[in-house]
Amino acid sequence: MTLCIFLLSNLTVSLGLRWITIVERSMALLSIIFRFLLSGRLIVDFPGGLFFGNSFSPKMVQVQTELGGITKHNLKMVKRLNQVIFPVSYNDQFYNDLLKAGDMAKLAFYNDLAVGAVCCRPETPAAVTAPPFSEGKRLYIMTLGCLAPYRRHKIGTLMLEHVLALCQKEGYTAVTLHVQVNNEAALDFYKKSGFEVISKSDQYYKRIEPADAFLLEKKIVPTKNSDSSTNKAAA
Amino acid sequence: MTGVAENHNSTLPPKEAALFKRLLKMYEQKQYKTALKIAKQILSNPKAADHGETLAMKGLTLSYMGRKEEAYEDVRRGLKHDLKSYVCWHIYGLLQKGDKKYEEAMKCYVNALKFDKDNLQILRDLATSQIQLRDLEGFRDTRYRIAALRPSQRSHWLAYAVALHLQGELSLAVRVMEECRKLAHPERMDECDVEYGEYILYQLELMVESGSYNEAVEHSLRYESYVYDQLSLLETRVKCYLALGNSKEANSILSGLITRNPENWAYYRQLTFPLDGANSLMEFCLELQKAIPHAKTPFKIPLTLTEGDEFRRRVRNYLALGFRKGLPALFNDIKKVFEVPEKSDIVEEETLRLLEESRQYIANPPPLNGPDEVPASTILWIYYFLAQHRDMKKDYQRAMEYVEMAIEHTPTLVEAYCFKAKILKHMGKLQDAANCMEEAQSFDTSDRFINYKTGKYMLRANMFDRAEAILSRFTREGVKASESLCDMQCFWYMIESARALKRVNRFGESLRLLHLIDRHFMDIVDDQLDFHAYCLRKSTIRSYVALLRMEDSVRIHKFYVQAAVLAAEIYLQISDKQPNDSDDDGLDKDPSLSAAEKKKLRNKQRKAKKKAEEERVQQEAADKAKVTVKAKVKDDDEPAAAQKEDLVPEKLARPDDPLEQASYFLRPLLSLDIPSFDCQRVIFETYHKKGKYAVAVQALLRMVALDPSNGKLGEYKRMCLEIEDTFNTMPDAVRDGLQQALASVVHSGEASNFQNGFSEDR
Repeated sequence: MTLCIFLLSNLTVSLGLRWITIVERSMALLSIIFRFLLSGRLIVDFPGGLFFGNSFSPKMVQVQTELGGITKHNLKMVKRLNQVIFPVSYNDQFYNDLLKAGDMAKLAFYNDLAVGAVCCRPETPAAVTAPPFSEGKRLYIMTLGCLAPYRRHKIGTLMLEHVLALCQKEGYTAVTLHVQVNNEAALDFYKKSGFEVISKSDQYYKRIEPADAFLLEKKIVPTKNSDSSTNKAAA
Repeated sequence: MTGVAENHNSTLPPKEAALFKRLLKMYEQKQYKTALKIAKQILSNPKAADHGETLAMKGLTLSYMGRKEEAYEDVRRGLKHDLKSYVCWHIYGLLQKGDKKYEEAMKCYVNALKFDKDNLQILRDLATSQIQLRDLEGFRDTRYRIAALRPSQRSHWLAYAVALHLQGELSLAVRVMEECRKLAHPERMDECDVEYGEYILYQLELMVESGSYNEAVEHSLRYESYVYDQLSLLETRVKCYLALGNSKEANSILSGLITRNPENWAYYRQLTFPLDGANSLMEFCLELQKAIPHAKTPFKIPLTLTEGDEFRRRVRNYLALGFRKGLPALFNDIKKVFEVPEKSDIVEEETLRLLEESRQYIANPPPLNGPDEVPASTILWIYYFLAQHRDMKKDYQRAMEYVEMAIEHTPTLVEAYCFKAKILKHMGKLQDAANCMEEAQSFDTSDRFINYKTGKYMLRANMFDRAEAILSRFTREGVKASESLCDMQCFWYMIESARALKRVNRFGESLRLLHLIDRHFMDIVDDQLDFHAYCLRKSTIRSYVALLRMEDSVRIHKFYVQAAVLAAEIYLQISDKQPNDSDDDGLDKDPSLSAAEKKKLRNKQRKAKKKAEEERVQQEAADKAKVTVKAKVKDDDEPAAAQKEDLVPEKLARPDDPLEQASYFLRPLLSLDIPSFDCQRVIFETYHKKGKYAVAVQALLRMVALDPSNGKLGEYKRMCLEIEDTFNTMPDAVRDGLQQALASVVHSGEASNFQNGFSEDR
């Protein structure tokens, strides 16, 4: 542990970073050293070490995730992604509308590969019934999905953040969406992002089992600085 | 036209003489309508009605207004009335030049010079015609006359140097260039321009070509600071040092060049080891890996130098980075390595191991590293790579499995669909391949490359209409894609289309395309004309000389060779069928068809013919419409190009002398020694049939050199033996040569493989 302390103080002095960062870093450092003390070897449990061998630099490969617009030229990509990701199939009208959707619909790219898509529309007034719906203009997420191999890479978050930022910008008061009742992963994801289940729609889906769905909603609190609110949502 | 001088009109009355001056001025300002009016005014005076130069000028003006026939009539009349006028002769020459009759034009200019031997303009026009026709000696002499007339103008000396260069008089060319350079030498450093640099580099090129390397090195060192294009200067200097055996200097320049651009393999090949700091290429590359880590070549070269475990380790690292980065071209990038079979196996083994490891890694990512160390797309690129590798091994089953895995992993990767199409193509499933390519295309309809690939795959599967529909997305609107692509000299399209048409026996249409390709090549040769003046004016001499050399053997290009082979094959087929009556379509001879089937097929063919005919009529109408539009646009721009004979598919499919047509396509290739077995085979068959045995034997020799184990050779050798008797009628020298040649290939080797005769291969 003397070693740890030495390293810690060394960091504090040499880097001169804000205390909060130092604490975070030292936690990581501590755990490395702890592992080292336990096993005697530093990288014994890194399959990555095997993967690269030794002579390559840089070791890290840059990964870029970004959103891009949907045009008539890449519409088929959205179609194929949705076919693969969702058990529900959408008609041509759905896809043709996306061309006019602007920021409401986006493709997500992982190192230039199209791996996910998000499609929203303004909630139709007819769907607004009694409470528990909140008042005002609401946005409905029709689809938001990412290919299985690319999950847990913050691509869903990227798309959701985009939607929330859009809401701030356009003055929506809430975002709603449906999730199939057995889709634990999706429920988790949205709950972590501040969504709440507000009702259950029985027999929501026509051709898939289970046919019931939860209706989720997240209220949008207008802020001057929309960035901080989206960050909070992502956290 | 400044050269059309004002004398000789002494026979004109004073008023008309003044008008004639105005006529020249109007012509030079391209005010053709006014010029024409003035010409008519002069001629309306009975005293001047037969004035030759006015008539000629009127003709020239008319030619610029697109009235070709009247133009010729007037100019000829003018010439008749004034045979001793250089103006008339010059104009007649210009008219011929406009119609691409350069030889005629040349004669006219020579006549014109008889009456005005120092006319600069005419001399220049003469030189242009001479170089266009490659009358190199004449060109040199004319250029000398021009330079001697205006010795202070350096561009004339420059042109003279080029003429000497082309004539092979290199040392004189170097001396002329030296004088030329002196004329251009700037007083102050900051006045130095690109043009001067070009002079220096051209002189350097002449020195290297003449083999005076010492002189060249000295020259390049002395004037180094005046040259903008340092890269070619240094590259040439390396060449000189290597020729002189001075590897030390060469190495030091090459090291600099490699630091500047580490991806040029040629630099590495020119290095001589040991050099400072490295005893071998391997060591050199290892040093560079550290010094320039982003460069790829220093990592790639060791893959060709190492073997066994060392290779395994290196290629593994190379691949691992490539997969993680997601380089679509990784397979082609290291394709050269696969030439060694063991290396190919090692690559596959290592790729499979990397696949296993990255699967494990992604299944349980280590907690402390970022997840990006092995990006999620890594597995996709490994599948894609494995598919390519299996395809190369012709193991299409496994290739297909891998590519399907890639598509399942990431169903939006266009390259994977393209590659699936390619595997299908290799399996011979052309329809499926075309459909698959179309699917790939649908994912990114803005990609022109995939669009053209799709069109190509569709043509391979004889889907004419679908190809047309797909390709029209990127061609000009309002014009059929097939026409638009032909107009744009899109050779791949024309070749693929001609092949497809030949496959379905639409010979006429196929030949139309092939003749168009031939015309495009003629156009390419004609297009030089503008460069003769332009390049000398702009002093881009090195590229000008390169252009002239390229044009000299432009038909060596694979597209011409392919077109010529295809055309000759069609003509050979046609000549086999002749002289049968026109209804014979070869069906009667086919015993596998019943009478009813034959009838059906004939009906089908008839329908296809009718359809083709209708299409053609429409096409012609469209073409005509287009031509008139073009003519309007061009109206007073330049004289309309000489009208070419229309290519009518029906006529083309029934040539009077198919063998002559075949040899029309092949003739330009005879002297070029094309390294293609197919090409030599077609030459052999055509000329054998024509009875031109000397050419056939030559083709046979080339075939033997290209592919000595080819099964067809036996039959060809036998055919040659059969004709050996006919050699006796030839001149002795030719006969002896032929017999010797034949002896070297036929009598030494056994004339076996008779069963693989060429008649079945058709």
